[in-house]
Amino acid sequence: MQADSSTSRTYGGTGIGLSISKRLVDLMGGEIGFFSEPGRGSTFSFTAAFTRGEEGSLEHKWKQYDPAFPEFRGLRALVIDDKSIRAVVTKYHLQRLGICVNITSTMHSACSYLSNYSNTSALEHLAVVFVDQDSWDKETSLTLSNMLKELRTNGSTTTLGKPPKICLLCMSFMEKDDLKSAGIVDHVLTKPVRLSGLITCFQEAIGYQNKKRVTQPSTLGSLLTGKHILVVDDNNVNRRVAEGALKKYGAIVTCVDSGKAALTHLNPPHNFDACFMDLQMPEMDGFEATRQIRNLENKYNEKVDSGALLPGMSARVAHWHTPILAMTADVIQATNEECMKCGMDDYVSKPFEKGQLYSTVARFFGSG
Amino acid sequence: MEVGQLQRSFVEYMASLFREGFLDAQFSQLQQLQDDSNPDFVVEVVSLFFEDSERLLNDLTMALDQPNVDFKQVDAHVHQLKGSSSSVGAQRVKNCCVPFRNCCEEQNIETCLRCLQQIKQEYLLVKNKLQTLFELEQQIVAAGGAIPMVQ
Repeated sequence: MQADSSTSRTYGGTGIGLSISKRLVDLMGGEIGFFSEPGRGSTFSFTAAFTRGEEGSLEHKWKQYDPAFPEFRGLRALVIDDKSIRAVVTKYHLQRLGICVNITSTMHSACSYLSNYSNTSALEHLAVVFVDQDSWDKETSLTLSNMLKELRTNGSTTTLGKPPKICLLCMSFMEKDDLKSAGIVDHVLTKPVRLSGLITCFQEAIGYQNKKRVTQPSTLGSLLTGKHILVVDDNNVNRRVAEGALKKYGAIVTCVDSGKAALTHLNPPHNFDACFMDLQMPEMDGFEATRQIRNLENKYNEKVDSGALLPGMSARVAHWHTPILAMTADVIQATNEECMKCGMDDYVSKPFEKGQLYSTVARFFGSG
Repeated sequence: MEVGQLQRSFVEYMASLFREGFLDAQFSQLQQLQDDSNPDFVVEVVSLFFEDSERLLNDLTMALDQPNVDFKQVDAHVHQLKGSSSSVGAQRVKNCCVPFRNCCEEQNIETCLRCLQQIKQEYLLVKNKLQTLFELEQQIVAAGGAIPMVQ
């Protein structure tokens, strides 16, 4: 229960954050606590129970997460925010994309920074200046904007060839429309800041041309056409139906009837883009087959990394990880940890349901 | 019978199969997968289903006839049957499988045998219905008509 609601009024918020946090912490097997001093502030802390991660599991997670934007490496950003912890969080997100970040607390100090380093390489790759709305100062903003434009015109060599963009971080889009239309702010991101928002912002900053990506809606057909899919199911009716459905969307389908056969086909290097794997099969079930396939992939990756194996024909794939999707009529079984533990990427219901198939497949083959 | 009449009978028959629960939405899905590059898809899959089911029903009969019934084996067969009937949209057959699996878990021979009896009946019914449907299709084609798409 908040002592008074003026904070909510000034900064927004529904007042249920603490309840949500407590619930999350409870679910993580921990306890939440706080220390508070009226007129000074509060410090919140929590404990949680974690298990030791499996070796290599972090790699697996990052592989799924990593948007791989080599074009961002070496770029620089300036974060203007007077709340140091919040600024550090923004910095963290940017660094994940390979961007170098400097933090300063006011627009005024940002202007000093720019004039101090104006002829140095420090500002060569400055692509975006992020300003938190709390730190926005209308008067200084024009000065800042002009200084940024000058950075590029005074002969400094730069890979960008255009002035750094100003991106405003605010609570809602509505608020700063006037700033955007005045041409001072180039981009607006709502908080909490998300990776996807930062990516879009940088893509615009470097003049990313591929608009097609963003605007074209995609269908199962556009996702699956030409993709090599392996279907593994010991039941011939299920195999035929799965094959029919995938072929309808343009996929090139190979069917096998056992976990063992799946191993043979998915031993790297191979041509398959994804595998749909039945879970319950005699002799070797879907879990075991997946475990063994991941094993084969890890061994192969190790050999490539150590230089013992030349990538050769598999050069198109730097790191083998074939998406394996469980097919199951029993969703409860599939959402079980065992699916993820043995290395499966996701599951789809059996028989296929179009909407679910689409959203699952889109994760691995992108959206257009 | 002239084409128009045949087509109407076909549409009505198909509608009744859905209404009475013999077939479900999955069967419609199969029909949608059929196209010029795959003109006999439905017949193909259904034929596979017939073969598969008859084999499984025989296996089930034998398994339940043993002096020491291996309920795990029985359950495995029922699981297969559930999967394939689900894939073709044979709803009533699929629905018999869940109680059957429960009986396997309880290791009750009596109830298992009754489930087997029921599932055999449902299977024969849907087989009959589908064969009638395919015959109607053939008659329409023979009379020079097109098979109506039923939503």
